[in-house]
Amino acid sequence: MQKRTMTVTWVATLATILILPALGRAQMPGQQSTSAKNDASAPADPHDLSGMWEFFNGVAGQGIYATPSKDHPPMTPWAKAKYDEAKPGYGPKAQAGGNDPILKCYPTGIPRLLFFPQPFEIVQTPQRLFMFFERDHAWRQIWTDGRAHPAAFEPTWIGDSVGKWDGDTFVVDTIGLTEKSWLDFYGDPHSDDIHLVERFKRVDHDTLTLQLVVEDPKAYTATWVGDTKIYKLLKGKKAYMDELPCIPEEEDTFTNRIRMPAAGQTPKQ
Amino acid sequence: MKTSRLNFLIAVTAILAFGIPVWAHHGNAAYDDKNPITIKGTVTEFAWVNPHVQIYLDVKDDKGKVAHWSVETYSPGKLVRAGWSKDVVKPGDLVSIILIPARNGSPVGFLHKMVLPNGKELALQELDI
Repeated sequence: MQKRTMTVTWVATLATILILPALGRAQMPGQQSTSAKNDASAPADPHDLSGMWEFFNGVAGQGIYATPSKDHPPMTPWAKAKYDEAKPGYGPKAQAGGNDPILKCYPTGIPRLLFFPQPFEIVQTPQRLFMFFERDHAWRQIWTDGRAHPAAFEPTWIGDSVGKWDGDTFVVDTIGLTEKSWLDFYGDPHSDDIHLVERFKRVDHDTLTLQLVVEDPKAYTATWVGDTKIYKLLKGKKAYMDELPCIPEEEDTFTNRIRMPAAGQTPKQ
Repeated sequence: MKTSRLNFLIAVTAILAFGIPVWAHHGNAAYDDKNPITIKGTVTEFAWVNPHVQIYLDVKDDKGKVAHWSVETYSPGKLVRAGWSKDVVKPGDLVSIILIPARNGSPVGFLHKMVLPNGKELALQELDI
């Protein structure tokens, strides 16, 4: 009888010793233990999107980085005229000596900021989710306090964004994007009536997916559903945000020294 | 063949065989992204600037003729994550560069990998640093 009691005591003690540390590490939303930070498969709070996220091509199923997707619905005549004027450096109409507004350091704008190889950082506060982009050192705010878009909103490069959770998917709704920006690297246009919906999901600790939907009847005859973009968490020494400013002289120098020679053109002196 | 050169060729062959996806990444139509080449030359300028870091080097062919190559790559911010710094090369250094060249035959290209004088390799994919 005594032996069994001792055995039970030992088992209970051992079990308690093993369980206690796990209880001590009970996770608050938004917090990660050090070991979880380094374990890509470790569960993350799906409502915690914070971190530095980078588009990384070495991932199966990754969509194209430069545009919502390779194929898009037919353009309206209005959009086609704009597209015909565009001279992009990428995509089916790629050419040197182009007129991409970012060559002149116009703001990149939304959603194009999401299509850069440079990362963005997500920071969540009680009323807003912020995205800070390395490109342009630009940022956007997404209101999560339940408000609606303003009744009147002058179009800007970043637009007006509101977001809410649909299960584990963060759905961002954006309006008020100026038609001065190119939608993507390929010169695809959009109107300032565009209604952009982004669905973000943190599918595991190190992976954020995005699916973009473009509703812009003035520019496209049907809804444009983008492919799945995959962003990976930057960790350790790579987890920092640089500044990638656009300086007109640097862009011009680069155009003269690299872009134009690559296209067999003589730079202007 | 020297062991180091053999190792280099094996490495290059392995990279080509696995086709690192980043080669499809730079959608700039000016470059022939299906046919990377290797050049070896002396650095004349290393421009650690936005929007793209550039390396200029003189490449001598078998006949002693010098071609002035202009090579671009990512922004400094992205390169630092791949282990680069503004001091990785300087004028006078002898380097090998794997790049995708301009389709029109100009001595211009987009860098995928660089081998430094000390044999260290720098690429564009974030390495485990």
